[in-house]
Amino acid sequence: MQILRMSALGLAVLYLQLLVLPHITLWHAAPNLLLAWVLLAAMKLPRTPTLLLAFLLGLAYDLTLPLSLGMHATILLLLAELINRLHNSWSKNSPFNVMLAVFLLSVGWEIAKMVFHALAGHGVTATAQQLTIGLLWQTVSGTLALYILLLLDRIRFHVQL
Amino acid sequence: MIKRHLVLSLLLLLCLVLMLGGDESRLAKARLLSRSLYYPFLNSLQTIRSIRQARIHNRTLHEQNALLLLRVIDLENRVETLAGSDIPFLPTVQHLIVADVIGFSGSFEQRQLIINRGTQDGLMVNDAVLNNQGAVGKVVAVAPHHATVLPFSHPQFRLGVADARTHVQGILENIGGHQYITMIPIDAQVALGDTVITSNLSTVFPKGVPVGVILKLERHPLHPYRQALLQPFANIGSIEQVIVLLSRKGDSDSLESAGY
Repeated sequence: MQILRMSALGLAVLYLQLLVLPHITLWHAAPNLLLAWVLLAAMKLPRTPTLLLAFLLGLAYDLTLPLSLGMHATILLLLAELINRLHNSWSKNSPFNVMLAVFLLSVGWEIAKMVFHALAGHGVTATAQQLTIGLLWQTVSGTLALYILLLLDRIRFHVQL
Repeated sequence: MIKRHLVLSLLLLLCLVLMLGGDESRLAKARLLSRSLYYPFLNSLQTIRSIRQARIHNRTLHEQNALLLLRVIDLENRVETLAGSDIPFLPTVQHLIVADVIGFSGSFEQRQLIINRGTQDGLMVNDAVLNNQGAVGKVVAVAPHHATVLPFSHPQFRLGVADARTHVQGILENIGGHQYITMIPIDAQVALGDTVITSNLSTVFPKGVPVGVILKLERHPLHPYRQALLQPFANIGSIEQVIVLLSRKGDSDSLESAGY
């Protein structure tokens, strides 16, 4: 049941990421809800379903940007594995810790993107200023999104027959 | 240990396969996945995007439609103005000007029309005022940018008119709030429904401008003339635009110059 709920949440997050968030940009950087989702999924689900879901969701995202096929699937997969391994040793009580985790994951995401683009010969066009503002924006919005997703995850529906 | 890393390894291998190759190769793989496994997802995404685009397009069309509507209204107004200046009963009028009625002075039958043309536009006192239905009145006061029109419904208005069929002359005047043709000879062959036009004795109007139709013929036992109740063509109460015929001067030997 938890897997189903997390899949549905992931799909909703993906639609939001593709349809709504590109319109809420700051310095050309859109909030990264997928990051918040993978963080939540890796904490809530067992390892294998998390990896599978991260891969499938990342691949779905890649298909909307076919030239970078496989990039987001790889990033989400690696982040899911990383979170799955490390989240138990990371204190989640303090919002600052959560924000730091989101920031580090965002940095990892951006570095992975740059490496992929460099290897694919697409070139990296973002300036240092854009990158910094983008990372800060993604950290704030990602943390906020994570708490919202946690809240949504707590909602239970009971059907009485 | 192997089992623990099997899924991750397989998925990473898949990612590597997807990433390998040039842009063309990645596009081909993406096309294959888009048409098979991810078809429902991508199709729904495309549908949502097309709905949003349709809404934006719809909004743009609404704006264009509103602009076109304003343009149509503007053109209709221009056509109306041109149609109003097309006077079939005045084929050889040399100088005329279209004016908007911008106000009234007086009340009831004492009402006079204020128009938005004046001496700056060449208007003079006693210029004839009509619309595409027929005679309306005459200019009685002119300022640089506006003028006052005495309509035929005013008690002080007099106009030399004639029966279009029999050419019997008479005078149009307002009696008790109604328009009458007075001074009709008793033996004149005037009939109900006859059209009344301006006569050649008028200094204000050229001959032949329609005025109205005869509704009723009356005769007072003490008067040597008959009078006819007239239904005017022009409705003074709802006039929005008029045409002013600029100065047809010269005829001093007329009924109006004698006070009519």
